[in-house]
Amino acid sequence: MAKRVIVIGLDGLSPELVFLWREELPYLARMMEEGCYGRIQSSIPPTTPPAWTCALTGKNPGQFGFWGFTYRKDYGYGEPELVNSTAIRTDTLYHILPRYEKKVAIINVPVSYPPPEVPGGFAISGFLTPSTESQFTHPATLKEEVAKLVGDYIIDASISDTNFRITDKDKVLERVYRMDQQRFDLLKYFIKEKGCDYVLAVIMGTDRMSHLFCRYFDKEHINYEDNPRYRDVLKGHYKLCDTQVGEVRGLLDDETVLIVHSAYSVQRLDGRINLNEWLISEGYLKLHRRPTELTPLAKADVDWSQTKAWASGCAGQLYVNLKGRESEGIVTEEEYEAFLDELSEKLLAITDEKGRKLDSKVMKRNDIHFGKYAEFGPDLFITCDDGRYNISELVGYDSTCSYETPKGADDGAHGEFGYFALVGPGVLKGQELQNVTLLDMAPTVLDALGIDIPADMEGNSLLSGGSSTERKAERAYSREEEEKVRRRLAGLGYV
Amino acid sequence: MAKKRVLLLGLDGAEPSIFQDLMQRGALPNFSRLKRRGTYSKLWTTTPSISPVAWTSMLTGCNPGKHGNRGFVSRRLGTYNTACDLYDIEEDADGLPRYLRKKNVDTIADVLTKAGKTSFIINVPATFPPDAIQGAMVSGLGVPDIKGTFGSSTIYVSSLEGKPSNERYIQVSYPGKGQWFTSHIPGPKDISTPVHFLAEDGKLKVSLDKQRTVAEVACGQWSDWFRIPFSTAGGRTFEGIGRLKLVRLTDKELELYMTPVNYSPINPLNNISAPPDFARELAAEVGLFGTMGFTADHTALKARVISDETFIEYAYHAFRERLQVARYIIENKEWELVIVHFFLVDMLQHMFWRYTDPDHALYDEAKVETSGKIIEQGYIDADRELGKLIDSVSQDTLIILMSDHGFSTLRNWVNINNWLYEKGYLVLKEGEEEGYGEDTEGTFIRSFREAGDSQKAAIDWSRTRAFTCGFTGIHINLAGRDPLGCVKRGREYFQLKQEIATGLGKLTDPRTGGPVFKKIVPREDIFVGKFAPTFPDLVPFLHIGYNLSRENVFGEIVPGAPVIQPNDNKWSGGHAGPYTPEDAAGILVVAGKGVKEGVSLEPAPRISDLCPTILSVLGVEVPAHMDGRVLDIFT
Repeated sequence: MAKRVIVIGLDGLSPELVFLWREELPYLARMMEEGCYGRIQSSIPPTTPPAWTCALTGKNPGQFGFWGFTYRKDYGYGEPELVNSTAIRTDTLYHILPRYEKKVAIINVPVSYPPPEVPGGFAISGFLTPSTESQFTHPATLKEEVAKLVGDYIIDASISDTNFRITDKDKVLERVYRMDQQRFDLLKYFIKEKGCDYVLAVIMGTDRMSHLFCRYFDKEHINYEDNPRYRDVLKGHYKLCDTQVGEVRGLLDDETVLIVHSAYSVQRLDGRINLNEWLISEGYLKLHRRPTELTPLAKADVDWSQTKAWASGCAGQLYVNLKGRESEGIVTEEEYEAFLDELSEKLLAITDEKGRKLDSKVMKRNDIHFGKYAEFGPDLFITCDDGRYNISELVGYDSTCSYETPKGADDGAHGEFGYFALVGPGVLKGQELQNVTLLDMAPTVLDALGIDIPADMEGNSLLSGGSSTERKAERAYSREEEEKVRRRLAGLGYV
Repeated sequence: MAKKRVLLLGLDGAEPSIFQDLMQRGALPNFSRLKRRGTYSKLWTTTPSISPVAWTSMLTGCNPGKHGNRGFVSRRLGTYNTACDLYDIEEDADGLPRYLRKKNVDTIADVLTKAGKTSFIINVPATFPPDAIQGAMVSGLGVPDIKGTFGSSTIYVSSLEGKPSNERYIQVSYPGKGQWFTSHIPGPKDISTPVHFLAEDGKLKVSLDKQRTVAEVACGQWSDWFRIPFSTAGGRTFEGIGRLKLVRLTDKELELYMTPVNYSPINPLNNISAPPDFARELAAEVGLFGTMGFTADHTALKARVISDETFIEYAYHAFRERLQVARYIIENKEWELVIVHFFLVDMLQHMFWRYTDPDHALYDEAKVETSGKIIEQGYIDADRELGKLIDSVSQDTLIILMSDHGFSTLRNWVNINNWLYEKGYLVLKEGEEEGYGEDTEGTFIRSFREAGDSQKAAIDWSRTRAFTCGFTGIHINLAGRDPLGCVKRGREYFQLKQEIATGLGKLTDPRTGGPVFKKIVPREDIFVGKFAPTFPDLVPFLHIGYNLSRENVFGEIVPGAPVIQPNDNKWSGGHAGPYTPEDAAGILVVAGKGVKEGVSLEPAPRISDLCPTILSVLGVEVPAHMDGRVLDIFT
């Protein structure tokens, strides 16, 4: 059993890149030798708020209630609510651990504004914090401590109202480095000075840099640009993170479990499907009037009485206009399954602008999600080309496919598999683990600290002898010990 | 400036509807006056709505998920067995029971002790063994009788003829008047003390040595408590106390009732007060007093071996003793907080609701005139006597009159385990199914209570997905958590709970056609805290009138019994449900200097609010872990 668990979240870190650059990432490489590692499956969809919340709760979005940056509070057609920490309507690790007298700190967790009142613990809100004017720490007095420690706290790479993709890239780069350094400094502070039993610090830099600089290092990128100035910036950031992981590990004793993981990868963006435009073209969605500019569906003039399905959010979430649930629903409960099948079949046939059939996957909500809030979730999910095609809900485009976003180009898109590595007592050594998902993170933390895994958590502990279904035998003896035991067994006639 | 003080009077089980009705009729003048001076409200109870749990929330300011008290009987964690959950019991060197306090969070008395303040906590349920505090604590509900039970009385009879089969009866060879005859008083295990009787002049003399008379009773009369010494084979001595009621005495026949032998306050088998001398001090000042947690012999009345009158007389005697103890403390001690618990109304309601509900199986119209007012009279007597206590303290003392839960009729038992069996969620081992439905003796119960380990039980745990035990509800047999768990965490767990909730929600009472369950709620929506995972996975809240069957509480399945079983037990009023905290709400009256008059409390206060409220009145910081909030009732 471990005395403490430290988790470094490296948002958007891609397992393929870690493996590719392994030689240049000595500390992650050492973690992989001394512990276990692998690819970690993200949430569906692999969007920041649900993904990190899956990791913190061990539960699928149906159990906590959101699938993107916004969520449905009711079955209305209006603009959905923006997620915030109170939208997580189930226990997270920062609820459970304090009950067992564990001291908790969460730093920059994506859905942690307003800062949760962690009993006896600490919270510094993530990038959904409006500004540093806001009360973004728990306890409130922590805000001053943060300022003393790191100076002006940087909430995100972008300043509110400014799209970081069109600001000066050098400036953003500098800001990302400063921002991430603050997080690492805080993480070390909570380990060293506050004696926390569990710290989760999420570093957003990798995600932000990938979105911003993908075109400079992925030659297959549609906007590939050979620019020596930016060619290695992403690798540079991976190396920075690696060094920081090494420094953090240096602070830990061997009764600590250290976990490093991302919640998805960031990969190149190949294109975009304007899903509501597609639904309109297929006759599933009807507008009274076409908007003259790009408009979110909630603000468009939809003829609900003739609409069977619509998309919302940016990750392929489709909703059925269900009779009895939505106020103007037209698909009956009896038709529901067949309609989803019909829709799926057509969705799978979507092509890119050149007529190439996309490698699409369609999933019914009820096949993958369950829980108290599942009903508020999308009825159907679609991903195209392993996520390299983004999905937009905006209407007002002249076609189903487009690349540019209304606020400029985005280079990156979220991929289904993130990276993880963990090391410490109870962790298998040098093993690459298969079939690991974000849902395993919370059970692993609890198991490491000797706390029973709650029945509603869906994942398994990754520790050896944990609740994981797959276990591997380990060498348990030194050579001398083994010789002794073998001799004893021989004496007993067993070997 | 005068010291701030709080007097809390706990009228266990006082039901808001009866309380309000009697107040409107002017029958509770003292309580009405108190209400006019302050605030009255319903007080939401805990889940489960039973005294040990609710009172622990009162004392700790925490929800049961945090304080961990699950009631009299609960599942023993990590097993399929049930166990007493009031305390842990171990055997001492003499093989006699020793009790270990189960306390997971500080009580209000602990918090006050740390703040240098004095409290007296008198007979509050689930405080045994007592805690060392500044002031004193006398344990309440949970203190056993000398035999280690919640009420094993003895009935000495000259003949067993015409008596029901019951272990309470001891046959004596009654020689008629004028001659000593001898029997024994059973103590713990095989220890007993001889007792000698002599019938003379229409009275029965009782002696432990044939010389000194310890009691003398005439027909229909009660003796005072008398001291009964016991000693072990090893020579260790301890003392019980008993009272006698002579039920019948003729030349040929004798029937003599003796209360369960209570721990003596002077030399008890286990301490019932802290400091231990405090009980002795009380005995010296107010006389011997009953110490057993249950202050009436409900098990004997249920077994139909004593009369209503005997039960009532016993309960009232205990009530008067409690009043004397309270008065002594209030008048003679320095205190900041006094909490006194009164069981009278709860006990009367449990046993005599049958005379007030025409739809109860045991309703007897012929007895309504004589017995229909027993319960009301209990409230009226409590009003009169507690009124005197209230008047005896200064006006600036904060008075809290409250009950831990309400009360209602108990018309039907619900055998959820039978329903789970019928629906295939609970599976019996092969061969065991055959006997199912053929309960020829009426006593054959497939029990895992005594099974010791799951392998011996009739239930096939490797195939059973859900089962009921304890007062709170349904446990899912979860893989990785339960020894032979077969339900997977996550989706399977969630869907099974949903399925059971939907199924039970549709269950109707064949006699009324109405629904039986009000709502079925997952545990995590109710309990918060370290001990939340020790509660059942699903809490099936019943409609008023239905109670989870006692067999189900013990984790048993009653072969052949219907899911809804009419209650023909004299235990005819209830509150255990499980009922929602709102449905089983108790009462709350708060009055005193600084309390707003006539303020109504919205949302309704919860029983866990009392502890923070009292602390704040006494100027002590409310610990952050408490769930309750300070009531907004002060000017």
